[in-house]
Amino acid sequence: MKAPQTPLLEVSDLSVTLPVRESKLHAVRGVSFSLARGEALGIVGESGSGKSMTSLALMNLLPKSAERNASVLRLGEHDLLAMDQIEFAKSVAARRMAMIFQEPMTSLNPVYTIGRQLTETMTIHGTAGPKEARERAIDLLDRIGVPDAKNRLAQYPHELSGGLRQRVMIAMMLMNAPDLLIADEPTTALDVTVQASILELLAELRKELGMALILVSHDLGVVSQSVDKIAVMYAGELIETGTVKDVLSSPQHPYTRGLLASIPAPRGTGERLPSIPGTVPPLFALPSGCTFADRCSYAETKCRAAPPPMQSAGEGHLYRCILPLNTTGSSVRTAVSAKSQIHSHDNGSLLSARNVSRTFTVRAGLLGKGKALKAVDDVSLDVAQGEIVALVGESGSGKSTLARILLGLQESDRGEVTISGRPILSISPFERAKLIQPVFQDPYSSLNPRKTIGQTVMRPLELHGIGSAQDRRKEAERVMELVGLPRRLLNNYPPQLSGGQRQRVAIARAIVLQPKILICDEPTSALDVSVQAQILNLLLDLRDELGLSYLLITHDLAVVNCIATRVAVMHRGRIVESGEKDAVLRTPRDPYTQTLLRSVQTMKFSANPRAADGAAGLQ
Amino acid sequence: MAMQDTDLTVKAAAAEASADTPLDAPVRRLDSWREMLRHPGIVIGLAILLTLFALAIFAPLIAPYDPFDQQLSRRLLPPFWVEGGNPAYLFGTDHLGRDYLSRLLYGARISLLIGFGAAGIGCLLGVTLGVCAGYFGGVVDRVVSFLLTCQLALPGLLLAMALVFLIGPSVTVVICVIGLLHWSYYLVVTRAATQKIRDLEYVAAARAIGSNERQIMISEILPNLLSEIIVIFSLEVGVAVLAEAALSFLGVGIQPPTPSWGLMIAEGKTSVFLRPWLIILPGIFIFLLVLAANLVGDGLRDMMSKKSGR
Repeated sequence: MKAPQTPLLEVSDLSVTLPVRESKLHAVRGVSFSLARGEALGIVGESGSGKSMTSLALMNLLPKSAERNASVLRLGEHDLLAMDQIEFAKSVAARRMAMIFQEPMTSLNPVYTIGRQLTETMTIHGTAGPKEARERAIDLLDRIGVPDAKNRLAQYPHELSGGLRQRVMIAMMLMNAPDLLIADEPTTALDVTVQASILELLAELRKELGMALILVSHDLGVVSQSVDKIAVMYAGELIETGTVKDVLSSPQHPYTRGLLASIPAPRGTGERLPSIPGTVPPLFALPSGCTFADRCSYAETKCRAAPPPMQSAGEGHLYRCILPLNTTGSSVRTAVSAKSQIHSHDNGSLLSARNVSRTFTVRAGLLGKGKALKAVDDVSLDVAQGEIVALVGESGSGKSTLARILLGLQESDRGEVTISGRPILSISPFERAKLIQPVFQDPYSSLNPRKTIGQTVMRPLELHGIGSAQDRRKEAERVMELVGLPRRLLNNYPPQLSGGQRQRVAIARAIVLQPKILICDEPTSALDVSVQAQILNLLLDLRDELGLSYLLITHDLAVVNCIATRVAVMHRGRIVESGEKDAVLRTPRDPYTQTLLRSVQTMKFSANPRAADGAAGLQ
Repeated sequence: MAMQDTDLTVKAAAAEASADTPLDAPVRRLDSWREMLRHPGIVIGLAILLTLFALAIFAPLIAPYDPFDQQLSRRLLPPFWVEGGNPAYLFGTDHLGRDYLSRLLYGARISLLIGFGAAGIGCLLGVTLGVCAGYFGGVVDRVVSFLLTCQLALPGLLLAMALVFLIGPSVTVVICVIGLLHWSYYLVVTRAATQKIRDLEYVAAARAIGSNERQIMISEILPNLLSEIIVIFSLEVGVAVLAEAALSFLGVGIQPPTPSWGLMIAEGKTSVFLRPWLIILPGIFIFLLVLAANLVGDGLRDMMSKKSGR
């Protein structure tokens, strides 16, 4: 080991520019940080903040057209700037510095056994012979909790679950015992219970092997649990760095404060979430002032005059804001009255499912015998007027199938779904459309890319023959205003909109027929936290204004806590627990609910009440 | 602690959302038009196609003579650049003394009509079958796939010859027969694309607002297949033009005296060594038309793969 003064990784003034059509996108600008041996750094930011580009720049994995500049880029004794691609691949990649990616489904090659892929990382570099590599692979898989490691080597990636694949990916990267592991959103694609175990594993391995770790994530909860230092990125810049404790308990930059405040807490009081208006701006031109100024409620004219320099707030705690500490709060907007009104929901059930079951037949192989898979198993559920019922479960628990049955898009094998007491199958699709509408998870695939926003929002009216073309246009404009979108977007196409805006359009389409119930299938899981808060607030507003009821399908207990009134937990097709939100979240009875609650990555340090008093109730 | 208690009403949310418009980019369609006109293949292809169209449409105005007018005293005149050529008959005359240039111009009408007509019929058939197969799956898909297998197993040109021969040759029959035999490409592509789109959430959303299957296929799925269909269409135009030329050459396509490029080659084949221009001239026209169609098709395909790769 070297003297502690020389850092393992030194990055100074790193910048990345990408050519986009005629202009240049400044994806990363002036990023500097250093990392000691065995230290863990969390890089946090929303999409478009440049966090992934930073990690790709370190690994020499930028797209070919990208341009990387830095004054210092050094890993141990290797000067990464002076190295060409071939040399880098030979002596640094995988051996000294390794990277794991977000998507465990696609980062392993499906045509090779995992044994071959694991041993190859060593044999290719000549660090071990095939036999030795095999032994190490078995040993590593064993250590990271892959059961029956020896036989797994002969398996192909598709035979493993997502969690196992991510473990294999980690094992693969550890084969050469690198000094630094970069993990880019390693758990985002995984279920919460799996996520917790992967994070634990990374922390353990770090201690055991003395390896440094860079954890890139949009999720402050995930990061705060497993790193020593945090770097918050915004629009390509580092805007705040420091130890986890410093950054989370006394955040200095208004953006960091806003980010902390907009995270729904798993054990909060269910108030409206504070949100940061707007989204990260794309950087085609170098900014003349603070990049956050347009979204910051404390911005003054001097903020826009020049890019703010780094300020120090104690040892190693740097932030990029020129405003005096005490005048800034968190850059969030909070509700007038903290608690949104509670709606009475004693006037009977609006949507109700009784003993609903749906079984799929899965055929194993070409001639294999069909195997019954119970996607939904004897589920009963009620949603009353004005209620927000959350249906919680992990992927594969059958929530989406249930949603389709409730929407009448799929028939159940057994049981009955009723809306206002009428069986759903006796209601014509036309009439049903005016009672119940869906809002889907993925704002990118839920809008037809070939239709303008106006066409999408007006289509339901057109289909139902409501009003003249002019009336429909007016109605679309009214709904756009309700969901908080400017009406000029009516002539735009979906690819021109941000994720949050698209989700608003999807909500507009759903409410334009004035239904009574919305079924929201993971409406915010594809969005950034600050945007998630905007959408959740919108859902609450719409409930108050239009008297809507929601069935909210989600895997995120924090979201549940934020807006739900009742909760039903679904596991392997069955509802294992349901009841009032507080009862379920505070005193869960079912072991599965308990596991789910335990797996949620809570913030390690609560924010200083001074920093975000509007959000204090969330902590 | 200065904490702004901004009122977050729905209107405030409106302000929020308007702030997050990423870029006020021009509408995408205009963009792709401009991009198209920068692609050399597409520009050249379109230029040739438009020229041929103009020649075909204005043939009665441009053509120096009636293409059916026989002047037996002036038969088999060579074009003006060959010794013995007559500047009054720029491209010479054929074996019945008809002006070759006029026949070539009128021939463009037939070739374009058959190229676009047959590609259109194939498009209608292939896209309908492909979208239905992809959307409904199950039995429909199996039946359509069986039809496709049958079609692929048939010897296309032989069957076309037999059909035209049986029904009796005419322009309409040739168009229909060629169209009926060229839908497999459309089917394969639209079927696969539909299978992908049918599971997307906007299709489910369309169903939730009460759209029926036909409305979903026409207004949700079809617009998303347009660019693929256009690419295949332009390539199929070339294929159909060649098929017509082949049929006419073999005597079961366009019948004399209608001027068709394939037929002109057939009529000239007896004197291929003495008067090669009788074959080369219509050959050049066929070549240009097919080349243009393929250039446009390839160019559009390039642009599409660039877009999806982005």
